[in-house]
Amino acid sequence: MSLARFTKPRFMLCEGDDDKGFFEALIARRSLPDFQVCHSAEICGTGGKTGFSKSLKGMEVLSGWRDLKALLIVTDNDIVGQSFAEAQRSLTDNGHTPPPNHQAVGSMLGKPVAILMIPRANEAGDLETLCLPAIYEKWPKAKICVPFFLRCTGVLTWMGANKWGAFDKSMQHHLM
Amino acid sequence: MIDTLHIENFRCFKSLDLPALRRINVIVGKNASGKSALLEGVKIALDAFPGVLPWLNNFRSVPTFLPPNPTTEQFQSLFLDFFHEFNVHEQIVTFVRDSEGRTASLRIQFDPKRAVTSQPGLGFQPQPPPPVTIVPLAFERTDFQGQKSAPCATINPQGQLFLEPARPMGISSGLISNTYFGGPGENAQWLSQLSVEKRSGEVLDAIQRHFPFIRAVTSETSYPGISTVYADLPDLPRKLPLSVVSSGISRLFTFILSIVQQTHGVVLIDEIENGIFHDRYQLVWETVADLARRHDTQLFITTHSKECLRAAVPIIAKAMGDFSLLRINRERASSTVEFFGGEQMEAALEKNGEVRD
Repeated sequence: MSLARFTKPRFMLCEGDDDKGFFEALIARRSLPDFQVCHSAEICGTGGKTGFSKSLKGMEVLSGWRDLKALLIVTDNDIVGQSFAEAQRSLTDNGHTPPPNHQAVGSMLGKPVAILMIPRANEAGDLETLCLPAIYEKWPKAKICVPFFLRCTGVLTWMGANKWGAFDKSMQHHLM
Repeated sequence: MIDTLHIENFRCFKSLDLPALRRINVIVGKNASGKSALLEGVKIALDAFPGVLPWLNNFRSVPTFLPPNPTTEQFQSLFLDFFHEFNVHEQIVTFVRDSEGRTASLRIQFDPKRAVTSQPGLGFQPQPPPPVTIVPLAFERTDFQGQKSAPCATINPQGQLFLEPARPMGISSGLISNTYFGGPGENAQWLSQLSVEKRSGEVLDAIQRHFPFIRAVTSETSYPGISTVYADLPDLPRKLPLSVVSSGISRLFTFILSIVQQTHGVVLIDEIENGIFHDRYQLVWETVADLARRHDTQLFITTHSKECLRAAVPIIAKAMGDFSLLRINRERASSTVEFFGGEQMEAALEKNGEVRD
């Protein structure tokens, strides 16, 4: 578990390693304000959205919370048409959270909180799509063989709404 | 059980409100943040008589010495440290509400209306020194039964410190300092009293949960007037003073004894981890929590140890409503307290979070 205390004025909670890596690099490259970035699995042992509620529980007790300026929660918008308020309720689900007063910004336990909804797989702006052009540019030959290999694994026959997400994520991992 | 506590102008607290206190209140904070001062504040609010101040000074290893026929300044200096930023122009105030809705209040101030004059009595001097006037420290109090009284710390006609006695406010309390590892005296007296009441078996049971090799603990008078707690160990031809067996065991014994002794009262434990081996922490929490519930005793416990806090997680998880975490933060001369419930405390500690500062 890597979140022992808050060390920076802003805190970003992601679903997993990939998101964390992407945003850390983005923050560094763009010289954005200082964020401490963690994903839910490293905080509570449960990754993804299902780990958010557990990660957020008791967070206000951790050292450094008093000096924290804001929280940003980054999540995949896996459910089409999900409103911000619905997303927030599903993430926190602890009764402490009032509905946000406008889209994407609200407050939680006395701190400003924003929820950044990343477009779901195969929609413009999803993380895998954003990363793939850079990866193809670096390894142009792999662009042909890795998708072929993944199709052979049968990943697209997997059940579930997120198979394209799984495909893109697998491709990204294999290429890198 | 104390439900809410208000303290003003005491030690490092300008003004402090603790709402919704629980059965077991764990206090954390950096050195000099005010953890021990909070324990002292609870003790003063519950005892509320002048004698508690020198007793607390002793707890802090501060000598209480007053020369005969003291000046006003010498008299005041005895008590100056108890006032926030030494401000004796403001009263020290405590207000307690218990779980039954009863209240007790205390105001401590130097009261010029009760000024006392004494004549230094050095008879062989041709010119006697001028008389000395001091302003007593008055404790205006209303106890849990609604009785009002105003004992004070003053000087007697001989010019010596006199602390007017009074009864505690109606909830008894015991304070175990961070350096108390048991010794002759108080523990032995309490154990004797419990033995007379046929209640000492519970103390032995609790200590044997941790250390089954101890056959018995008894109060013995080895020298006239001095009683000591002894342990009966196998393979030894004589009993050993418990503090000689182990200072940690002796300290744990003090916790157990105090909780049983202060049934319906309050026990204040400074640095619970001191002298206790780390693999015992969880069992210590379990023991004190279990005893506190059984005896309706409320605990205020300070700790510096993250390992000790982590060991409390399974015990908190079983009864989250029984626990609270009070984190003290000091900025310049004043301290503030953040209050967290057992649910939040358990969630943060369970994730191995840092909660101490």
